Amino acid sequence: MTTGEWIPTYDDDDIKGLAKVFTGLSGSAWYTDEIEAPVQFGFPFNAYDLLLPMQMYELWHEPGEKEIIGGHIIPAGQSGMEDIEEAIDVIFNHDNVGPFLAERLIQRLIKSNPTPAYIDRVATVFNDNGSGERGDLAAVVKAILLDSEAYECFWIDNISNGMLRSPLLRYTQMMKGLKAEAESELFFNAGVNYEIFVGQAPLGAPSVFNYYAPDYVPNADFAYENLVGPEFQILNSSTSSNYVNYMFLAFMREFLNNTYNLQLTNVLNGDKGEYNLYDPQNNDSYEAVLSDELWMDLGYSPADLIDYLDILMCNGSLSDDTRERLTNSVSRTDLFTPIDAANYAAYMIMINPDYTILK
Amino acid sequence: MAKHKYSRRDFLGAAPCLALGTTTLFSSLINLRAMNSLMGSTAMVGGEYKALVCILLSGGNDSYNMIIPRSDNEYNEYAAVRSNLAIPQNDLLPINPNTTDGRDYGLHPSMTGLQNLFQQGNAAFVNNVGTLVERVTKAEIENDTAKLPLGLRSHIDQAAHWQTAFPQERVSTGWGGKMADILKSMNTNDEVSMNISLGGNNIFQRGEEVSEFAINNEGGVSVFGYGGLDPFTSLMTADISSMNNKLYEDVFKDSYKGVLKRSIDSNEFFNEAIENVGNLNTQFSGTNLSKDLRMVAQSIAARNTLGAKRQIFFVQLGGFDTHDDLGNQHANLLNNLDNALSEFYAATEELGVSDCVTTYTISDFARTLTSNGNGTDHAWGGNTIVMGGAVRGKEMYGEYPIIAANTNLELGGGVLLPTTSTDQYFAEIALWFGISPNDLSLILPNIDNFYNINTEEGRLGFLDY
Repeated sequence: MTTGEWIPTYDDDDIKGLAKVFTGLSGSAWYTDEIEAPVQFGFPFNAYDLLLPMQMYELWHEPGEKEIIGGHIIPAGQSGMEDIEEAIDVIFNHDNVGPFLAERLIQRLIKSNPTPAYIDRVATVFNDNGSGERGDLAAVVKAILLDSEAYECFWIDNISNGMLRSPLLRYTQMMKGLKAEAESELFFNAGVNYEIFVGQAPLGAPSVFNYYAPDYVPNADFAYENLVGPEFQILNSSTSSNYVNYMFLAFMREFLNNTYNLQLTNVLNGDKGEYNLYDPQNNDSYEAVLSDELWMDLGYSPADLIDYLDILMCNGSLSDDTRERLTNSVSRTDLFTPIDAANYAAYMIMINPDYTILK
Repeated sequence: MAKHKYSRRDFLGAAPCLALGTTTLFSSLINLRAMNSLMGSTAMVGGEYKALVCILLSGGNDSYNMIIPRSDNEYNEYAAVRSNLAIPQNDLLPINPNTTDGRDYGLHPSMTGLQNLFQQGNAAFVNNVGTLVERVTKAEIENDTAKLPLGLRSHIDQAAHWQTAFPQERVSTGWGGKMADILKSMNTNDEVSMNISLGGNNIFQRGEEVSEFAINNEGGVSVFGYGGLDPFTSLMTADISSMNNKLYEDVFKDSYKGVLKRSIDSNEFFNEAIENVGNLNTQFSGTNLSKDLRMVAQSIAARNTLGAKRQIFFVQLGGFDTHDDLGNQHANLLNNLDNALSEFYAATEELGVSDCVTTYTISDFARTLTSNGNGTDHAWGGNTIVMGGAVRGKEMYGEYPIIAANTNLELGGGVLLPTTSTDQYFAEIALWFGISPNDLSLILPNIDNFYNINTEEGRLGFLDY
């Protein structure tokens, strides 16, 4: 087929067949052990302990024959889990899975618009890791990261190269890169606030389609270049400004130490004492900011600070004029204590396109 | 200037080449708009204010449990096919359309507000609407000779097609965005987009030039401290502003900073406009949909400050994918929708613009007539709501189908073939909104398959234009 038409992988009958395969699955333990009745099939999902795997209730499993993808017949009379294992094997061995998974994983890890050749190289490893094994995900990820299209500088300036780092990736990179620490080793889930600001949380997608479609075209410029930018689907007039606000609060107002009852008016007044519920010297939260020690190591040099953050967060891609401007800004000793200057630099880097876009 | 940037002149100049190289709607639209701007066919004169509110009932509304046959024969057919999901006949809220097809109909018992709006002539229903490329019959579908929308019964495709009105392809612009492209010069201020979204990014409001301005139900989101005058906020403002005014050759970087820059520019202006109009007297419920529609009403109240003669709003209510527990979930959803619609209509009356605001619903698809045990699955044609003072209300438009299996519209599994196309539904709205008949095919490329602008054959007639 070279007509360019889409070829559907499955049809409505396959969906019905697979729906039958999964009948009988339900939660395996009550959410609270105060319920003394034995666990039953089909209660609202939040009645179950969602940290435990689902379990098969054979009485509720459709026992008949099922026809699924590729005309495969699952015989009648198997146990529910046997049906599921067989169906997953059929799906797993479908020719489309390798390229499909390769493209999705490259889009999450490296770039939004991989070339077909890159996808093919990764799919080949999915199909066979070199030892005859299909589906070796460690080998797949290695193939993605070590592909020439992922690391060769030649690609940096290619128009198709790049991805918008998802808000969650930015968050985890901030925490890890800037070495968030908690003396108590207890980390408060400040991510709840982050979700309100940027509209993304782990395992919190609004539907089975996740937060963004793999073929999302953000604007006419992308369309003109025939490019997609999935993560742009959740970047809009609200989330873009709110991301900036979160970074402002995180770095300039010690928001991460302040896990509840945030009074924005107080924050905006800049009076930390008014709103900070924790004494930063004596609490169980954490500091997700550049440490004083590091700043001292850098000799309080604004240029070294910006360079450090450039390497750490932007892979050394900060543009010259931005570097110059930020270096001047963090040199403003009339405005910043040394630690505030470091925080301001981190804030400005975290919102800069040289960081948010991974080239 | 970066290579991918283009002026309008480049755009038009490049268009013929593009049209040779691709078959996307994008390229043909450029040509069409070029012609449009030469012919000046859609009137750009001031005129009265109008707003559209599109409510996406996300997940696929089981709309044959929203509008339900009440006459004994038809109700019995309905009850037979819907089995355990049928709403009891005595619970239905009667409606009395001015024009009758000889049968009686009723609404889901949780929609008392909509019943009143309908009976008062401020709401209408359009029945068995669905995505179509061209008219098809059951036989053509069974013989595999029909030209059909891509990805029938798939959420992601069908929800998109209702927004793009181009179901034979997966495209990245929608008909609300294209209307704004054509009409945008009617608005005297371009700091805030004609297209305002309470439902995040969406294809419906995305045009070639106009894109959606996404706010939340408390208004636009300002950047803390931006524009401040003290030394610190001045520095911060200067640094952010410098970042946003930088031109990036890279399309990713330029797009990221473009979203942020537009956000900062628009939000400041928008929030000031909203603050100036103050609060509405109309009380809204605490559900997200009601709060969203309250913000829509406030945005309408601020229309003069915003310099808007035309506004297009996008709002979403999710949760309609009722494969399970249909009875309870659907009742709650329809109740939330019902309250929000009544409250919003009251607010437009308070603002004196009820005749200028038309609200309409879309949904991925309706659901199978047959029960899967405790819910329903993905289907095709379904019923929609149109509300507003301009609507020729207390009427049902489009043929209401027989709710039964084995009819000439039932395609097996309880899926109904639509008898009214989304194009017919949207054409009426677009023409009312000020798109000229000659421009209709710019925003609804398949319209000629369903509606003849000269003879008006295929016109539904729920709005005047």
